Amino acid sequence: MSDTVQSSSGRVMVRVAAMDDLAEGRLKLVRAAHAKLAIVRTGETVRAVSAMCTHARIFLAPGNLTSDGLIECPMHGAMFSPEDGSVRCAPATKPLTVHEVKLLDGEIFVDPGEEPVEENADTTKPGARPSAAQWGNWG
Amino acid sequence: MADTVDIAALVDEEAGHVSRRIYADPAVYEAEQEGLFRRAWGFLAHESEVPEPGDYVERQLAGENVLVIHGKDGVIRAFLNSCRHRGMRLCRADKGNASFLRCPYHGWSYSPEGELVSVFAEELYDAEHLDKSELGLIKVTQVDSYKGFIFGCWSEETPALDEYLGDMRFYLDILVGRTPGGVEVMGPPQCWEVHTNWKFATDNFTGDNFHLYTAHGSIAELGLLPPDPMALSFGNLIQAQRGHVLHIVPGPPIPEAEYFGLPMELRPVIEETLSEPQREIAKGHAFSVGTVFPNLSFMQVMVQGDLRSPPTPFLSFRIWQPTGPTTTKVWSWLFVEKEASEEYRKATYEAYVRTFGPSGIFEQDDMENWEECTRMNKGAIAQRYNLHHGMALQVPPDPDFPGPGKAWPGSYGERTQLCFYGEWKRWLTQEEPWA
Amino acid sequence: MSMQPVPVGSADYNAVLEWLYREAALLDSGEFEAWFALLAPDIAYEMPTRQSVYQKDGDGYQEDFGFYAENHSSLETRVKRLGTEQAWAEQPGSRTRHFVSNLLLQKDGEGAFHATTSFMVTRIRSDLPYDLFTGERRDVLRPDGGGYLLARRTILFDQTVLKSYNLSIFL
Ligand code: FES
Ligand code: FES
Ligand SMILES: [Fe+2]
Repeated sequence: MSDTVQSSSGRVMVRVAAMDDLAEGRLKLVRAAHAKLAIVRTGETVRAVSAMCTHARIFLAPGNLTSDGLIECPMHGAMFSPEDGSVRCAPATKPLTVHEVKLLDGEIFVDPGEEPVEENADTTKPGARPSAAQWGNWG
Repeated sequence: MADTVDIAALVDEEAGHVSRRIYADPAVYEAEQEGLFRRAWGFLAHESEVPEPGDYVERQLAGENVLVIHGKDGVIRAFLNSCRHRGMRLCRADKGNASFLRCPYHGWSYSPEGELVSVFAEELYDAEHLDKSELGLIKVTQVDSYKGFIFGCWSEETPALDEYLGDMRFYLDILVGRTPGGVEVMGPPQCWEVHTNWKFATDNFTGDNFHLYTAHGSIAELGLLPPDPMALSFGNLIQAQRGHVLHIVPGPPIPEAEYFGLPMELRPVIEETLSEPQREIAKGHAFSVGTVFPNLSFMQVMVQGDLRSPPTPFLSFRIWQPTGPTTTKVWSWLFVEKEASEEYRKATYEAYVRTFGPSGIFEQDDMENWEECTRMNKGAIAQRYNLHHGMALQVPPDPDFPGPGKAWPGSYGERTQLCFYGEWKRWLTQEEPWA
Repeated sequence: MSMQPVPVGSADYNAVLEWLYREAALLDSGEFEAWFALLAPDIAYEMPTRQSVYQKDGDGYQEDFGFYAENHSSLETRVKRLGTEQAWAEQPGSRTRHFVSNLLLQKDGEGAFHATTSFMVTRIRSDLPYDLFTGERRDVLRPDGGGYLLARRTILFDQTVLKSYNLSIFL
């Protein structure tokens, strides 16, 4: 079987796992091209969201959906919806990105999306400075 | 040095591995007292604590009680606070002023310059059995000061203070020598006891900038930390020289957060006093935390003391004085520019006391962590597993950094902690660790 | 300010004593918001440092440099902090007992009560040994409605070196 398929809009979708690899409600960390994604199965549906918590950029997978079907960040407890990536509980404020999923013969294909433009500077680059936005209304 | 424990095997600074035993093992503690604390320079007092002739404070140096006293000749000296007759503790106050130091036991009296002046019933001794010139107070082997900070050292071989501090002086100047008057203490040191190994404190003050959002998660929950936990990850980790390390972190891109947030009225004189590279560093940063090897740490940070006060800077120096393998006495001083206004003194005092020191809404949680780390590292099973120091070790130093030493971009990382442990290991295992 | 002694056992004395007992009960049961409601908006809550000095040099307290230098806003911040999930010094919480005694009371010209008491506070955290905090409190209580608001508390602590690893509690 091919490792890629075309999405409805003609984008390249990458095979990341098989249905059989996924336990119900268990988040799995996968790579699709440049993207690190958390995928999760509920019944016969599989959803894929960006794998890093938008608060302090830590991995949300592996892990389990909460009893309410939400993704809980292991670090400071932010909650996200796996359906639309929206924030359901602080301290995160920015949603996760949602990635299109296609199931073919028990294989899972995901759209990695565009390569993200890093909005914040790489702190390990000489002379990098924080942006005003990172400080919010501190002070 | 200690035959029961192979110190060299306890730290692998290349791999980033540190044995848990260094935080709990009595044999390591003994090796440390001998190899490190009885040889290294230790901070004793600031000149502003003993401004007048006869003024003294009692301090500790490598576990010995030391009297730091301002002589009638203007020289500040340091002696073992112990009478030459039976060893009685000579001065029994934390601070005071004395024309003579009179021993409470049999009355031997010493001058503030340390000579034995009189002996009770002196006529009953003959010259052979009493030579007063040989019985002055026991001097701390080396005493010297840097910008008003008085240090002592129990070893003759250890290089002089200037050489020992080396390039750390460049960074210390930015903190304590940025105005013509320099700094002075505000009040006595706060002192408290913590059931931790002293190196958990230095571990925190040699580069742990990334504990903020968890250890101080409550402060983030209150909204008193910037919303993005990576906002404080910029800046540099710096090894000034050997085990002397620090980090510097920029604040938000606003003028108020330049020069560590120091009051605007002081800035022109700061700009004048610092050299060009020092000025560049001071201007670009709001926070700096570091350690003068081995156990004098400092913090120059901006904090909100409460929900309504603006971020306000303070400068604190502290000694983490080991009192046993798992106990530490903390001495924490608040400093302020001699030129500072009354208004700023009040603001910096409140900002400090509300956030740091034993009641501080930040520091409470640090000590909770250090105590529990120490307890958990005592177990023989736990000690089979090394602790982990591996963050951002792949980052190369910045060749264009304006200051001396090595500077690694990004302030979240564990590089400088490993510099500290590497130096710690050298002092415990080498005849001449400074060579 | 003219100070009038308030005799032991008088109605005012008993009312202030009861207020102090109720305050202690709120602190020991962790009802910090209810405790905070007892504070006047202009409260000064201070705990000077102390050094061991010869008697000719006084009592060793440093009035202007302490372990606490609080106002209404900073006490509110502390109370709110105790309500966060990550206030690790109090998660899980300390178990305290505030013993308040030896009340001597005076009333000033404006009707405020100046209460001097001795306190002993025990604290246990986790499975650790007791922490013991002892000293004197100097309080100013201002009549307010049927009760009082705490307008000033100065804690004169007996230890020069705090023998505890933190002061995450109110004294
Ligand atoms: S990193 Fe996810 S909530 Fe903070
Ligand atoms: S995360 Fe640092 S001690 Fe556990
Ligand atoms: Fe901290």
